[in-house]
Order: sequence, then structure tokens, then C-alpha cells
Amino acid sequence: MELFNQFVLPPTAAHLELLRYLLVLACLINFPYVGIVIGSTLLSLVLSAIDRDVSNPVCARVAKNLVDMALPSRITVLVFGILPLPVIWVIYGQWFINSTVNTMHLLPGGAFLIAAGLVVLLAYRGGLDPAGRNSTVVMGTGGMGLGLLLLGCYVMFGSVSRFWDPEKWFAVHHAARMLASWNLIWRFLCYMAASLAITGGAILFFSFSWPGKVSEMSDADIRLTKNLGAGVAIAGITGLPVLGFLYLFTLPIVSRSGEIYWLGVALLAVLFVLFAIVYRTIFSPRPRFGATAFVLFVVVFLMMIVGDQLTLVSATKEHIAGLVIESEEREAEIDLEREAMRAAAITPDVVRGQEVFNSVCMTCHQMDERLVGPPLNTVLPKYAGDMEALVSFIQKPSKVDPDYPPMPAPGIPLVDIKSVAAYLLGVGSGDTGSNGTDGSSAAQPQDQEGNGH
Amino acid sequence: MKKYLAIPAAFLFFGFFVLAYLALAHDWYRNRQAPDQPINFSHKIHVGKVGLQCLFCHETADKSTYAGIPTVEKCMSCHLNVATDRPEIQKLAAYWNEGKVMEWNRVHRIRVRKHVYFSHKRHVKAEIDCVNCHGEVKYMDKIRQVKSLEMGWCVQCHRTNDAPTDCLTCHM
Ligand code: HEC
Ligand code: HEC
Ligand code: HEC
Ligand code: HEC
Ligand code: HEC
Repeated sequence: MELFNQFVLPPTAAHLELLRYLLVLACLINFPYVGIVIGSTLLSLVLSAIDRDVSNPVCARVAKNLVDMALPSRITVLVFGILPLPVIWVIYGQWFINSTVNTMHLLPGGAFLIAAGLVVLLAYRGGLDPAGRNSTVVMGTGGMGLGLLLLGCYVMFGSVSRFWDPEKWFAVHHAARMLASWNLIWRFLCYMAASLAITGGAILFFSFSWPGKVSEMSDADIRLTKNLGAGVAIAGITGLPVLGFLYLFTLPIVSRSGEIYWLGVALLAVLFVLFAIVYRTIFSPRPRFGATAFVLFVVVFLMMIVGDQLTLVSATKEHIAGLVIESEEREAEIDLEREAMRAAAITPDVVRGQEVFNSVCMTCHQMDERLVGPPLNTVLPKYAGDMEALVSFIQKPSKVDPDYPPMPAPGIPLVDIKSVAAYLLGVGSGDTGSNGTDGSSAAQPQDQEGNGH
Repeated sequence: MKKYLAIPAAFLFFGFFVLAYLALAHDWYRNRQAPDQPINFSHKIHVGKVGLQCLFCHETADKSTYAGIPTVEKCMSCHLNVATDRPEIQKLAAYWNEGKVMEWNRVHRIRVRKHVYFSHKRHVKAEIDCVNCHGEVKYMDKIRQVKSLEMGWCVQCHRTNDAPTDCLTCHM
């Protein structure tokens, strides 16, 4: 029950901070992996198609190797491809609690498509024959898996990208319309370019630096694998700057911040280094492609995911400020209740009331002179004998007289408010001449309270 | 030979995009980012915490094309007495004492940049909440533009609300 409450109540600032790191982590596990699956499946389909036209055993073997690399086992698919999805969903849901337009229902839809695509691709891997000449059924399975995966990614990106494009929230009612946005398309294509790049990196890394792989390959296999890996990686690496520019150019103004551009420049630097590394491998007969280079491809994804967080934080600044205030208010309310219980037992102290009046209220109020607020002897009579009303007005002031600016809440403990009210009513009733001494005016509010209960 | 040309070519390619990204950054810092103000005025304090209404300060929003920015006098109606010990308020008081006008930097600038007729009065009279066009101002410490204010945005809302959409409504 405690856990459940954590999830439905407005989250605190620290809570949201933690969620952000978790979200980055979940995305970092999921996105590069799904990227590799998409890239490898695409390449294997192309190679198998070539092999079907003119029988080409090298193509067929490499196609099979690619799919084996991307989908080595069900456990891998489950851990990297499927398990992070619900985590991402829950965190985004938490982030957008209370949001006026909620597109969260699209996210599980996208996640489901991705999971379904991965399962279909496992069947594709099982059916793919390294000897070549694969049947239409096998190829169709691959195509369907890839299609599901791409659609799932697009819907998932779309469902959350609405959050950094809130401008269209109020006007758009159909899910299909919400997915039609240039900014979203560029962002999706950025991730696709990064996916191609990391697929190339994975091909080079797992084929040439993974123990025991190279020895099983013929020279022709090695040449094709190498050129394919390097070519795809370079296509991704050079495509990303262009798409990134279009993405930044179409970014809605709420989502922008100075940092996002500097992050973009840093990304360009990493891409340039990657270009140099990958380019070198083309000319070495037995390429060596270290783990560091592969990690740089993951860093590209990390930077893009962090960039998404930056835009999200910028776009939802006010929304989050609202959530934090709400959670603070909830805590304050609990404090207030506790204090009220304590205060009920406390007798208002007129001497204390005078001190509070002098230090807090006097900045705006005099008894018989207009300052920021009205002279109190003109307004107090209407509270005579009704201390509860005066206490609740001071606690939560509302606008009364348009001639004056509204009074802000003083933010002092309830005990002090009661004391000051007792003091004021004592002074006020002194004016009307019914009660003289401090002692009797302190007793009066106590009676009031007795009646109230 | 070709082999060695690729790296300088790539350098030019990435260098070009570095410049392009920097141009976007420049546009952001120069034209779009919320400008710094002479005084650190916070809507979050005055609307969120103190509970003032927008029209209390932006008096002409329901009477005129311009919403109007409050004068120092209006601020001093409270700040002659409220929070006078804070440095920002002392800056404010200095303006007041010297009788200077506060030069607030504009956050929204379409009418300055383009020849567009826009009127607050019509929209406020039609009971469109400020939130629709200015966002959750009550949570902003430093006010910023949250909507594109582009033509497509204006026209989209006009269409959904059956407001006029012919060119002369907004372009004279
Ligand atoms: C205490 C007075 C006060 C109140 C109340 C107030 N504002 Fe303001 N507002 C100002 C001042 C002063 C500025 C100029 C300084 C600045 O831009 O921060 C301003 C600036 C703005 C601007 C930017 C103007 C520009 O330069 O383009 C907008 C928009 C705005 N206010 C909207 C609102 C809305 C909406 C509300 C009600 C939720 C509101 N304000 C309540 C005092 C106030
Ligand atoms: C239909 C959309 C819309 C609504 C509703 C709206 N505004 Fe504006 N507001 C604008 C636009 C557009 C500008 C920019 C005008 C410009 O750049 O010249 C603007 C500018 C301003 C400014 C800057 C000074 C000026 O007058 O140009 C202030 C202050 C402001 N609005 C306050 C308010 C307040 C307060 C409300 C609610 C009572 C409100 N606005 C409601 C669209 C709107
Ligand atoms: C209705 C009265 C009222 C009006 C009008 C008003 N303020 Fe305030 N302002 C307050 C109150 C109350 C606080 C203190 C809130 C707090 O306790 O932090 C405050 C706080 C501030 C602060 C923050 C001081 C600090 O450093 O903590 C600044 C700056 C400020 N006001 C500027 C202005 C300006 C500029 C105007 C005119 C556009 C203005 N105020 C109009 C009531 C008002
Ligand atoms: C949130 C919805 C909304 C947005 C955004 C909006 N408008 Fe309007 N606008 C209206 C409505 C509704 C009316 C009709 C008011 C009426 O019936 O008097 C209107 C009326 C007008 C009129 C007066 C038309 C007449 O008949 O004289 C002008 C001019 C105008 N808008 C300009 C703009 C411009 C310029 C923008 C963009 C900067 C804009 N509006 C953005 C809702 C909007
Ligand atoms: C509801 C108000 C509205 C209507 C109706 C409207 N416009 Fe605009 N238009 C704008 C605004 C606001 C801008 C400024 C956009 C900006 O600052 O980016 C603008 C800008 C433009 C520009 C300049 C674009 C640029 O980037 O410099 C042209 C040209 C234009 N409008 C043509 C038209 C034509 C033609 C029509 C009739 C079909 C029309 N507008 C109807 C509000 C309107």
C-alpha cells in the first residue's frame, strides 16, 4: 500500500531527480540494443534478397551471422529489449501525473509493438538458413518483425515527444494526428541513423574482436563483413549531423535551452572521432576494432538520451514546479494538522500576540492609519466575537476591498495567528468599550472555542 | 591518394555542422532566450505565493491591444513597506526615489519583428485564459515564451474556435 501511494501522489523534487537517472539508465539499456536489432535485421534482409536473386553463399552466411549477433538468445532479447520497456513507461507516467493532456496510453502500445517485433524476429532467426535461398515465408517473417519494431519505436517516441511539444496539446485530438510532426520525424530518424552507426560498430566489434569469430570465417566472408560494417557505420555517422540539425531547427521553443546546442557540438566531436576510427578499418586486411570504439557508439546514444532529458526538463519546467509545490503543500498540510492539534491545547497568549503584531503585521497595518493595508480599527469590528473567522482570514487571506492590494499569507505558525487574533480582538473590543482588560479578552476567545466544538 | 583525402573532407563536413549548430545556439541566446531583467521579478512569488491576479498588474489586458507592464509606482504600493530589506527591493526603491522608468526587456516580440495586428482585449473578452497563450506563468520565476506565436499557431486556434481567419484580420 505504501508503495502504491508513492506512485499516485505528486512526487517530490528529490524523487523526480532519482527517476530521471533511472530513466536514462533504462533507455541506455534499451535503445542501443533495439538499434542493433533494427540495423542487423535490415542488412540481413537485404543480403538474403541478393542471395535469392543470384545465389550468393557469402551473402547468405553473413546474413545469418548478423541475425545471430543481434539476437544471440532469448535471455538477451528479454533483458535488453523487453524488460526496460515497462520501466520507461512507469517513469514517464510518474513524470506526467496531473498533466492536462495525457498521451501515455500510446506508450504501452508502442512498447507492445516493440516486444511483438522482437518475438517475431526470434522466429525469423530460427527459420533463416545459412545455406541460403530462404523461402518467402522466412523473409516475410523478418520483414514483419522489422516493420513492427520500427512502428513500435515511432509510436513510443511519439507518445513522449508530445511532452516536449505541448503547443499542440490543446488542438489535437487524434492519435494519428499527434504522430505527424516534423520534429518527431527528425528525432526518430536521428535515432535510426545512430542505430545504423552502432550496428556497423557492433558488426566490426563482434566479428573481429570477439574471441573465436574470425577463425570461422573465409576471406570472402571477412571482406564482406568488414565493408558492410564500415559502410553502414559511416552512413550513420555522417547522416546524424544532418538529421540532428533538422531536429534542433524544428525544436519547439519551450523545449530549447542553451545546453542542448552545446551537447550537439560535443556529439559532433565524438562522431568525428568515430569516423576516423571506422575509416581506418576499411584499409586493414584484418581489422582490429577495440571495445573502446564500440563503447563510443554507446556514448552517442547516451548523449542523445541526455539531450532528450534536457529538452524534456526545459519543456516541463512549469509542470514540474507545480508538482513540487503540490507535494510541498501536502507536507505543509500534514504539518498544519499536527500543529492545529497542538494549538487547540494552547491558550492564545495576548503578550505574544502583541509581539507578533509588531514584528509581522505592522509593516502593512496601523490601527488608525492607512499603510499598505487598511487601518485596522475600520475592519476589526466585523470580527468582534468571531475569532475563528479572523484566524482563518489571517491564515488564508482573500481579497476584500478592491482599493487595496491583496494581503499575502503571513506564513507564521497557527499558535501565533491565534495569539495575534486574540490580541487584536482585545484591542478592538477595548475600543467599543465592552471589555477592558487583557485578561478578559484572552478569556473570551477561549469561550468561543468551547462553543465551536 | 584518395584514402588520405577522406579525413580532411570529413573534418570540413563536421566543421561545417559545428558552425551550423553554433548558429542555432547564437539565435537562441540572442533572440529567443528569456532576457535578463533589471530587477529579478518573479511571477512565481507574486502570482503563486502572494496570490495576485494577472489583471492587477497587467491592467490594460482587457481594455487595449497591449496588456501593459506595471509601473514602478504599482510595485511600490506594496514594496514601500514589504520586504524592504532585500537587495532587489532596494534596487526597486532606488528607481522610485530617482523617479526613473523601469526598462523591462521584452520577452514576446512578434509585433516588434513583424507587421501583425494582435489585440489582448478581444481575446480576454472572449474569456480565453492567459494560460492558453503564456503557459503556467504562476510557476515561472523568470517569465519565458512557451508558445511559438507563429501564424500557424494563431490560425489553428482561430479555426477551432470559429474566429476569423482571413488575412486582413491580423495583417493590415
Ligand atoms: C506584481 C505584478 C504582476 C502580476 C500579478 C503579474 N505580472 Fe506579468 N509581469 C509583471 C512585470 C513587472 C513584468 C515585466 C518583467 C518580466 O518580464 O519579468 C511582467 C511580464 C509579463 C509577461 C511578459 C511580457 C513581455 O515582455 O513579453 C507576461 C506574458 C506576463 N507578465 C503575464 C502575466 C500573467 C499571465 C499573469 C497572471 C498569471 C501575470 N503576468 C501577473 C508583473 C506582474
Ligand atoms: C490569444 C493569446 C493570448 C492571450 C489569451 C493572452 N495573451 Fe498576452 N500576449 C500574446 C501575444 C501573442 C503577445 C505578444 C505580442 C507581441 O509580441 O507584440 C502577448 C504579450 C503579452 C505581454 C507583453 C506586453 C504586451 O502587451 O505586448 C503581456 C504583459 C501579456 N501578454 C500579458 C497577458 C495577460 C496578463 C493575459 C491574460 C489576461 C494575456 N496576456 C492573455 C497572446 C496572448
Ligand atoms: C500585493 C503586493 C505586491 C506588489 C504589488 C508587488 N509585490 Fe513584490 N513582493 C510582495 C511580497 C509579499 C513579497 C515577498 C514574498 C516573500 O516573502 O518572499 C514580494 C517579493 C518581491 C521580490 C523578491 C524579493 C526577494 O529578493 O526575495 C521582488 C524582486 C519583488 N517583489 C519585486 C516587485 C516588483 C518589481 C513589483 C512591481 C511589478 C512588485 N514586486 C509588486 C508583494 C508585492
Ligand atoms: C487560444 C485561441 C486563440 C489564439 C492562440 C489566438 N486567437 Fe485570436 N482570437 C481567438 C478568438 C476566440 C477570437 C474571437 C474573439 C471574439 O469573438 O471577439 C479571436 C479574435 C482575434 C482577432 C480579432 C478578430 C476581429 O474580428 O477583429 C484578432 C486580430 C486576433 N484574434 C489575432 C490573433 C493573433 C495575431 C494571434 C496569434 C499571435 C491569435 N489571435 C491567437 C482565439 C485565439
Ligand atoms: C490569426 C492571425 C493571422 C491570420 C488570420 C493570418 N496571419 Fe499571417 N501572420 C500572423 C502572425 C502572428 C505572423 C508572424 C509570425 C512570426 O512572427 O513568425 C504572420 C506572418 C505572416 C507572414 C510572414 C511570414 C514570415 O515568416 O515572415 C506572411 C507572408 C503571412 N503571415 C501571410 C498571411 C496570409 C497570406 C494570410 C491569409 C491567408 C494570413 N497571413 C493570415 C498571423 C496571422
